[in-house]
Amino acid sequence: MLESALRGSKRYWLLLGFWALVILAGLAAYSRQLSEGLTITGMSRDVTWGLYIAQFTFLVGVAASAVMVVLPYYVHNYKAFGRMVILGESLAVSAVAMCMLFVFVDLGQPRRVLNVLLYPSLHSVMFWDVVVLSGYLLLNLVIGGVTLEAERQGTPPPKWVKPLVYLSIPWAVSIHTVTAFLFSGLAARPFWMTSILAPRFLASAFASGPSLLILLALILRKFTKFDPGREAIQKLATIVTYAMVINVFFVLVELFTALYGEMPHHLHPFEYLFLGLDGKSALVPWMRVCELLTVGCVVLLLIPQVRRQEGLLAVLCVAVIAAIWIEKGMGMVVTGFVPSPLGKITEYVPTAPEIMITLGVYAIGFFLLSVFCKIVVGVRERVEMA
Amino acid sequence: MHESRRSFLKRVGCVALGAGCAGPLFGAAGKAVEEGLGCGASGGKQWGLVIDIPKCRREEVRRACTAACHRAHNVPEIRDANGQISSKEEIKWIWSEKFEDAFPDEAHPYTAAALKDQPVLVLCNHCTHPPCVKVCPTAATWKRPQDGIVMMDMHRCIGCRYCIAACPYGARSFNWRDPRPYLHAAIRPEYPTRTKGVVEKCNFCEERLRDGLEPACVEEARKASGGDPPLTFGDLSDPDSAISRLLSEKPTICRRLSLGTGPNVFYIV
Amino acid sequence: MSEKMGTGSEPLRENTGQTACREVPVPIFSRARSDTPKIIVGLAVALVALTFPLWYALAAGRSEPSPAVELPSGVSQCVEPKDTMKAHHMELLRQWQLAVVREGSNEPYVSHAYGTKCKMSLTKTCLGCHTNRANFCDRCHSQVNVQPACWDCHNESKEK
Repeated sequence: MLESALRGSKRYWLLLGFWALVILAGLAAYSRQLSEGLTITGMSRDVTWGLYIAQFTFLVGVAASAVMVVLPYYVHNYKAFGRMVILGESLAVSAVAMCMLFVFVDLGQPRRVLNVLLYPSLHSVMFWDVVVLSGYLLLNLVIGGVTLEAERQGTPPPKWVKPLVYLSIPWAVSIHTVTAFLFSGLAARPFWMTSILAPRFLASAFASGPSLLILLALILRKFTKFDPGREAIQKLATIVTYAMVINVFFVLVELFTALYGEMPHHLHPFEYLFLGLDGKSALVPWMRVCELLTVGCVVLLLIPQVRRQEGLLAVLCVAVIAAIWIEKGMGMVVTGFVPSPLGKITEYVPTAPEIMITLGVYAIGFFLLSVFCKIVVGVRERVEMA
Repeated sequence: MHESRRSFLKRVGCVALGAGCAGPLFGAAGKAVEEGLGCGASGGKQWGLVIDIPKCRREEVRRACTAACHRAHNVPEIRDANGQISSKEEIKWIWSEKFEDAFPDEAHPYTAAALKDQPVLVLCNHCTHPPCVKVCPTAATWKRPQDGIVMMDMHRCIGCRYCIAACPYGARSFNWRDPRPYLHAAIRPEYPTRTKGVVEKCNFCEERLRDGLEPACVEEARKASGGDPPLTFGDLSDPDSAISRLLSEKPTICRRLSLGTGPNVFYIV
Repeated sequence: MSEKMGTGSEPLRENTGQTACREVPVPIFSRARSDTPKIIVGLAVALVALTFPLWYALAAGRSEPSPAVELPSGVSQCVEPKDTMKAHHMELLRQWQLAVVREGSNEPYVSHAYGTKCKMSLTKTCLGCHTNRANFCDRCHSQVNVQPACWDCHNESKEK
């Protein structure tokens, strides 16, 4: 089964070669970070988490969104997702791998990373995040690998996979909930300390993840013979639509509490993010773009005729991903630090080496995803030949 | 037994991985449960500090405190290209902030201007319920049961900066780069420096307390103010200590009490 | 070796213990045109190659003597005997680190061999006598290519 990753067309090798180049560039930048320290990033004493943790937050959502295909298919026997599930699991594995890598490159002392497992601190949400993410990675690798191999053999998967699949459903929800708890348990950061953070994370995850899945399905259909099916893509589009609507509702609900309640600690971060505060407004243009994309996506996605046009749907999916990437990534993470506990406003702009390392990690994820998809396509081709 | 080579190797691999991970991890987990959280003093001391804001009005006093602390602990002075202290990367254990920034819940529009802009010394509060300790994934920072000091273990810190996100007082600094080139005064050899990638903060001079001395800032403040001590340090759990008597005589406030962290640094306004 | 191929429309049977899969399982130790000799030879070569540093060092004997280290003047013995220190100084330092940093201990260290007491401090005790790190610690560390991270933070006892 795995050998189909080692045999491919020129296009396949060119793709892998491209990712490899980006990975190498990222590695070069990272080696500089290892020797000089995190000073090469744009983070500062006040804004201590930036681009890396923003990507981590966004990608945990993408990883969790696999549950949106697994649940209908395995629990509710929604057969149309038959070929989508394996793509969801592949995306989940790549996303979790990227998540863990982003946390790793963010560490000041990465060679000590195993301390998290050697000195488990059960009161620390970060410890639990490492545990659930590792578990989720393992779960998806096993479930995906075993079901794919079973498909290749032409047999149903072994019985012991079923309980693992059922386990992966609450586990997917838990990874993103635990990640939300990382932020929402901190009394020092009123922007993050809101109960709705976990539901918001899940809603935006279920919009961005399936969007990525739709794009992946369309790309695979275009370049290979693998077609998850029109109905599956349409169902995912419906999920994205509802999730986006709920996400917008959650954001509006947050805005009401902050704007109507007028508590300075709660209000100031929102002011900084959407309007600018004390003359500092670096994130405002980003939020304008996010608002535009969000409104456009929600309005258009609500129209079934629009969703049915796959070309238009692809564009809207890109827009959804961009909007959520802005809002959840930089928007949520950086704003948590503004104003600082001492009332100062420090702005954050990522530096070029930081961006390069980020791209390198993304390239690793896309490399993995390309390899997984190649294997999936290989298996399907083999089964269909039979 | 008919078994493919592949499934045999898979089985062996799984067993090896399981045994290899389980052993040390269970051992470590057992140790960690023993170590515990150590939140709140358990029959031991609780060191505390009282800062008399009016007595620290003079800048020389406050500067002397900061200088003494930073000198004693090899705290670097990170300067940017213009020679100014880099606000992006500065490391500080004790320093001055305006009253309205240190006490956002106490300053109101009619607070006397003299008080609003009055710089006050701020440092780690060695809280009774420290949020930084709660979030640290490796217990690299923990509250010492014997004396309530919130300690840093520079050997264990992985530099994730979660503690900095959790601290409501901005008391912690991260080493964005190797600090040694920025120790402009000579390194004080008896105390280690830090390396890049770890977090640091005030440690209530635990190494001086070991030798029966009081914290550097307290000693220096007394010298700089000519005898009338602006800073009082002592054991809060001892009702006869100087600090306990001072707290019972003078009205004091704390920073951001409503957050429930239980700070152990008190301010006489 | 022909593989059985079914059509896509064949009903898939339950896994009944007898394999219905296309991959023919092969018992490990018997196969026509066996690869076993090649595998065993390969494993043996790999084992020899991987353990090269061990058996070569034993066979060839020490080619380089231990580096000459500058011993401190005016002090006759260390915290523990020389051979104990050579073999276990890192464990001793780790023990001191845990006691001082994690437990906050202020107790002096009592030597197992001599019963003498000393402060548990790398800089004050160890480097108090071994004042020149470059001529002592680094000599052996360089030869065996060990780079302890201690020096990132801990200082020599004399001000530079």
